[in-house]
Amino acid sequence: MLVASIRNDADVVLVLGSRLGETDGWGASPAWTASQKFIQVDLDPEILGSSRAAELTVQADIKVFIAALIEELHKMTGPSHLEERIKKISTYQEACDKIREKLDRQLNDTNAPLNPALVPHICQEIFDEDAIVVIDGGRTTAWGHFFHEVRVPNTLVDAPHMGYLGSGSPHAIGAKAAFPDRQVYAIMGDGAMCLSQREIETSIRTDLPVIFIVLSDNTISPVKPDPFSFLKFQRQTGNPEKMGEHKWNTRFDLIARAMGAMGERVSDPAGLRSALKRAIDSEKCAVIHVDVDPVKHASLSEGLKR
Amino acid sequence: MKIPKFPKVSQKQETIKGGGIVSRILAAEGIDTVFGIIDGSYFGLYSTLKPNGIRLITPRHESDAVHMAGAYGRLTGKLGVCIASNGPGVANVLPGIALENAEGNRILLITSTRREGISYPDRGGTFQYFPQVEATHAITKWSCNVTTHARIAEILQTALRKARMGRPGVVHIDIPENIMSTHYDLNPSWFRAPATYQTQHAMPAVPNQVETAARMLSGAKLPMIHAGGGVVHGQAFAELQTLAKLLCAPVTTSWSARSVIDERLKESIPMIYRDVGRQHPQ
Repeated sequence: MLVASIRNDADVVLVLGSRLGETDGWGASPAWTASQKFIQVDLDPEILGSSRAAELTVQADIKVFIAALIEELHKMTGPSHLEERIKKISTYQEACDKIREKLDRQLNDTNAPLNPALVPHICQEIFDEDAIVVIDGGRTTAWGHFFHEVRVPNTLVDAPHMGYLGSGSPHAIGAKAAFPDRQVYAIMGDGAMCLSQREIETSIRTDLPVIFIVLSDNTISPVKPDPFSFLKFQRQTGNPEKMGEHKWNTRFDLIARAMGAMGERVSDPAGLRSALKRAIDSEKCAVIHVDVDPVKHASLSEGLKR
Repeated sequence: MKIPKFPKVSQKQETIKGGGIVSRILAAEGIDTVFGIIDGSYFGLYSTLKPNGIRLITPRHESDAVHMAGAYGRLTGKLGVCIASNGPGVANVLPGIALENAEGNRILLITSTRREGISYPDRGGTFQYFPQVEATHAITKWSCNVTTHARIAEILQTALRKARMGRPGVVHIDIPENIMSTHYDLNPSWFRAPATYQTQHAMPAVPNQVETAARMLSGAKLPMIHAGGGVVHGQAFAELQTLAKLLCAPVTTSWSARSVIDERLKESIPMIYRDVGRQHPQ
């Protein structure tokens, strides 16, 4: 059971602050069904009803609206079909758990260089629950999302609309400026770090210590179709570099050290765990260069099926 | 006997730099952090930040200042503020603006431009000049060039109002370098309390619409909630969780709103469990 199937089951959909854009299937079939009744709430009246017809369009601040809705619901006797709703939620969770279980088989792979699935997983194990994570990269973004679980709301920053590369370092420093007492770490691809490694110096100079975890596979090749990139236009194009053809061997840990940050290179799970602990204890800006298996890193679809 | 002269009382009018007008209004808005790279062209702005209790965080590239302001604004629900200097500084912020505006992060960008008389339009070979407001127009919610110091306050207050209207994004004001750094006679009417130029209250829904929504959701067989970035910008995390439990409704999210809910809750359906390979309409 997957997201679109769950969406298809609903008879009434409450849309809160979403344009229902391309990545939400424009609010149309097959991601949704034509017969569903939509209630769309947004601060911006230009968004209301713009992607699909809505039975009720409400211009309001989302927080204020939800608070008023909760108050109104409390005046009522309680939702109808409650048992059916409970049963469905339970079915959905079982389906999600099955997918999770399948995905998590990746975590049994403890070989070196690292299976990229382990990086976000280990980070979540080591960092505080309310740590803010920034995800930046191509495939790294996909691995980051699939193996990170949101436990505290508003603790994840990325650039999903633009699918950008290179905003991770400054996003992380901006997050640290907002919450200096919380841990902030960025999971980045080597390409993303090449675009914004200049900000390692900023993290040091401004005393806004961020921990950058750089997944390095020493390879340049375009994104291939994978479970995360479901859009039709994301196909392999041109003549991709063959695996192992390009070896740049940039040592992000050494760049970090040269700039005055802590820098470590790791290639196995135990090494990553201990490096992260040392980075946190140092209270300094740190860059952990993580060697990931280039074949596994590039083969997200296959990797997730294993 | 020589009678001493009575000391002359100074009648000197209090003055303020154009950039100082900006800093003072930002401080009144509660803004305490600005991201940007300093440059002589807007000395009148950045030199007045600290005296107004505003810290300046300086990145190594102007576009990164926009990203920093974007993450800061997204996570706090406040306005992220960044600055850039005329010509190359503004050229460098463009990719940052394009991204943060697309992501819908609430940002105010303040830039300097070359002095009046040689800009808008180009005098012909003007150094470090391009039509900055025209360049940002297509990738911001609103952009405006300030043509006189007497309108700095009014236009900045308009920008602050626009920043909080509708879907969040980037608003941009562009001020000539000479206006930024020149001392002007201070006009107290420039410094109005924020409540006098924008509402301090978040927009409520029409009550009967809330009642209708409650009836529809309560009476539904299988209602669901789809949460987008508006939940992030409204900082409505606790409310969303309460609502989902109350309705016993699953919650899906847009990609940008993945972080609105604790994914361990049984009502949460993480967006990563999406259908793969489905065809979507063009």
